[in-house]
Amino acid sequence: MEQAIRAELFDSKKGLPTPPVLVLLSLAAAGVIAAAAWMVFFYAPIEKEMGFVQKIFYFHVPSAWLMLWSAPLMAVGSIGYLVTKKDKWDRLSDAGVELAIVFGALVMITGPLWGRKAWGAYWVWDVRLTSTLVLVLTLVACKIVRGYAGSSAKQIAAGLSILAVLNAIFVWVSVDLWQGSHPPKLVQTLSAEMKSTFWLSVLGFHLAYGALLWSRLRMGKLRTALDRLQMKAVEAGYDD
Amino acid sequence: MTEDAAVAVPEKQEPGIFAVLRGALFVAKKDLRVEWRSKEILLTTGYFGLFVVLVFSFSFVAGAEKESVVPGILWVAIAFSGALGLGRVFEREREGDCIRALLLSPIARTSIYLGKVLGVLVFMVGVQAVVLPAVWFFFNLRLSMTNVAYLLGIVTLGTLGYAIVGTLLASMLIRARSKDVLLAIVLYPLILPMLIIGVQATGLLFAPELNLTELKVYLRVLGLYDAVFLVANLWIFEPLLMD
Amino acid sequence: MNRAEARNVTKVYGAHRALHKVSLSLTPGCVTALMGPNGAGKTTLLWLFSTLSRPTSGTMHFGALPPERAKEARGWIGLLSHASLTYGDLSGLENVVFFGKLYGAEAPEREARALLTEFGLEDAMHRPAKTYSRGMTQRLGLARALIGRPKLVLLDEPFTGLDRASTRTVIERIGLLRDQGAMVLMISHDVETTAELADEFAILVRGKLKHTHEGRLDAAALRDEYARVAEGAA
Repeated sequence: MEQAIRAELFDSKKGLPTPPVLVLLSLAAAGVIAAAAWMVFFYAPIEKEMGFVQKIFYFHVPSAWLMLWSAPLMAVGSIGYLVTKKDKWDRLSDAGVELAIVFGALVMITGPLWGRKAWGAYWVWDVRLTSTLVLVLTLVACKIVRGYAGSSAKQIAAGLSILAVLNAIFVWVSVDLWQGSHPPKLVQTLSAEMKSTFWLSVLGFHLAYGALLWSRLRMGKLRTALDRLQMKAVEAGYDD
Repeated sequence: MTEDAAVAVPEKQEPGIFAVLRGALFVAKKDLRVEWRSKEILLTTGYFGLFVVLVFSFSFVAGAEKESVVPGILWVAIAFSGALGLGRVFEREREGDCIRALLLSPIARTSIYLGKVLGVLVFMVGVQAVVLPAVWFFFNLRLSMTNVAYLLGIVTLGTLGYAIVGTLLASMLIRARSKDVLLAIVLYPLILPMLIIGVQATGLLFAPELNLTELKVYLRVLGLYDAVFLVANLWIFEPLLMD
Repeated sequence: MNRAEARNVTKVYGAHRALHKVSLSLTPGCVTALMGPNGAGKTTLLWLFSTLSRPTSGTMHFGALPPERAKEARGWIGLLSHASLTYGDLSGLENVVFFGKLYGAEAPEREARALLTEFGLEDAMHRPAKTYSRGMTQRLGLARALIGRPKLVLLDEPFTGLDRASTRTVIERIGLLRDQGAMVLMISHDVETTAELADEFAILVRGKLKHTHEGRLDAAALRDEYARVAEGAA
C-alpha cells in the first residue's frame, strides 16, 4: 500500500518537484515586473494633467484586463464541471475565481486612488468600478459558500460563478443607465516612453498571471491526488 | 409505465414542456396549500415588511424629499422580506426531508424549480400587497392611475427576477450549515442590478413629468434580466441537487 | 423494471468509508432483509438503491438502464425512510394525493383513500399530518411510498412505532407486494417479523457485506446466524 502511495505521489508526470518551466516563468514575471516598476518611476515622464498619480495607470489597467481574462476562465471551468462533473474543471473554475478576486481587488485599490485625482472623490458610481465591486463581492461570497456548503460545494460554487459573470454584465448595463453621464473619461495621449513602460508592465502582469494560474491549478491537482490517496487508504481499511 | 423488455435499453425520454409545466403547477399548488393552512410566511414576512417601511419612515421623517427616499425604502423592504420568505419556503422542504421525496419522484427537476419560483412569486406578491399600501399611506403619495399601473409592472418584473434568482440560491443551500447567512451574502449581490433598475424606474414615477422612454428602457432591462437568469438557472438547477 | 443490483459499490464520505465493495442483487417477488449493527452502512446502501445517492465507485443497475441513467428508474421506486417525507401542514390524504400526482397515478384521490384506509388511517386522513403519532406517521409514510405502484420498494425500519395490529397490516401488505412481483429491500432489527417476511438475508458489518443467505429462515435460526456473523466480524 505504502509503495502504491509513494508511486502515485512521486509519479514522474504528476511529480512533487516544481516543474522547471514554472520556476522560470515565475522568475521571468518577477524580473519583468521589477523592470516595469523601475521604468514607471524613473523612465516614464510625469503626465501633465494627472501628475504623479497617473503612474497608477500602469498597474491599474493590466490588473483590470487580467480580471476580465479570469471571467471566461471560470465560466468555462464552471460549465465544464456542471456538464462533466470532472474535478479538473472545478479546479479551473476555482483558480479563475481566486485570480479574479486578486486582480479585482487590485483594481478596487488603484481605481479610487486614480478617481480621487481625476474626479475629486475616491468613490464614484462609475460603471467599471461598480461592476468590478459587485463581481468581487459575489466571487468572495462564492468562496465563502464553497467553504461551508458541505458535500455539494463544488456544484454550488460552479453555479454561483456562472451567475456572478452574468450578473456583472447586468450591473454594467444598469449602472450605465442609472449614471447617464459618466465621469469624464481621461483621453490619454501617451508618449513613446509611456507606451513602452505600459506594455512592459502588461507583459509582466501576464507572466505573473500565467505563473499564478499554473501554480493554482497544480496545487488543486495535488490536493485532489492527496484526497484520492486518503480515500484509497480509507478504502483499504486504514479507517479515519 | 411499461414493463421493459429483457435486454432492450429503454429510449431516453425527455419530458415535454407541458409535462414540465404540469409538474411545476402541482408543486406550486402544494406550496400555496401549505401556506393557506399555516399562513405563516405571509403573516411573518408581511409584518416584517411593514416594519421595514415604518423604521425607514421614522429615519426619514424630517423633511427629506420623499421622491428620493420612497423608491429606496420600497425596494429595501421587498429585498429584506423576500430573503426571509425564501428561507422559510425551503425550510418547509427540509422538515421531514420532503425535498428528497420531491427529488425521488419522477417529475423533472425543472418542474420542481419552476414550481418553487411560482410559489415564491405568489408569496412575495402577497407581501407587497402589504408593503405598497403602507408606503403609499405613510408617505402621502399621490400617484395617477397610469403611474400605479406602471409601478405594479415594475414591482412584478422585479419580484419575478428576485424569485428566479432567490429560488435557485435557496435550493442550492438547502442542506448547508448556517444557510440563512449564506443565502443573504449570495443573494444580495446577485439581485443588485434588479434593485438598481427597480429603484431608478420607481423614482421616475414621482417626477413631475413621466419620462416614458426611459421607463420603457428600464422595464425592458428588467424583463431581460428575468429571462436571462431564468434560462441560466433552469440549466444550472438540473445537475445541482444530488447527494 | 425487473432488476436492481449493486455491483461492487463503495461509498466514501470525506474520510469515512460507509460501504466497501458491496454487491447485492434484488430478485423480483422476493423480500431481501438487510441487517447489521448500527453504523454498518445499511441506510447508505438503501439510499444508493433509491438513485438519490451515487456510489463513489462501482455501479448501480436498474432494469436495462445503463448506470449513468440510473435516475430514470426513480418512478418505479417507493421509499420509506427515517424521515416522514411528508408535509406536516397538509392532511394525510393531501400528502398522498400530491405524491400520487407526481407519480402520475390515474386516480390519485381514489388510490390514496384506498391506501390510507388499508393502513387504518381512514378517520385521521383529513387531519394535518403533524398531529399524527409516530406509528401513524409511519403508516402514512408507507402509503406515500406505495402510491406510485413501485416495483422496487425500499423500507428503512418499517415496523418502528407500530402496534401489533398495524404491524400485521404492514406484514400482509409487504407479502402482497412480493406476490405481485415487486423487489423489496427492508432494513429491520426485529428478528421475528424479519424471519416471517424475508426470503433472503444480507448482513452488513462495518460497510462490508459479511453474509448472504438465500431461502427462508425461522426466527431462531436467524438469531443464531446473525449472532455468529456479527460476532465473527467483531
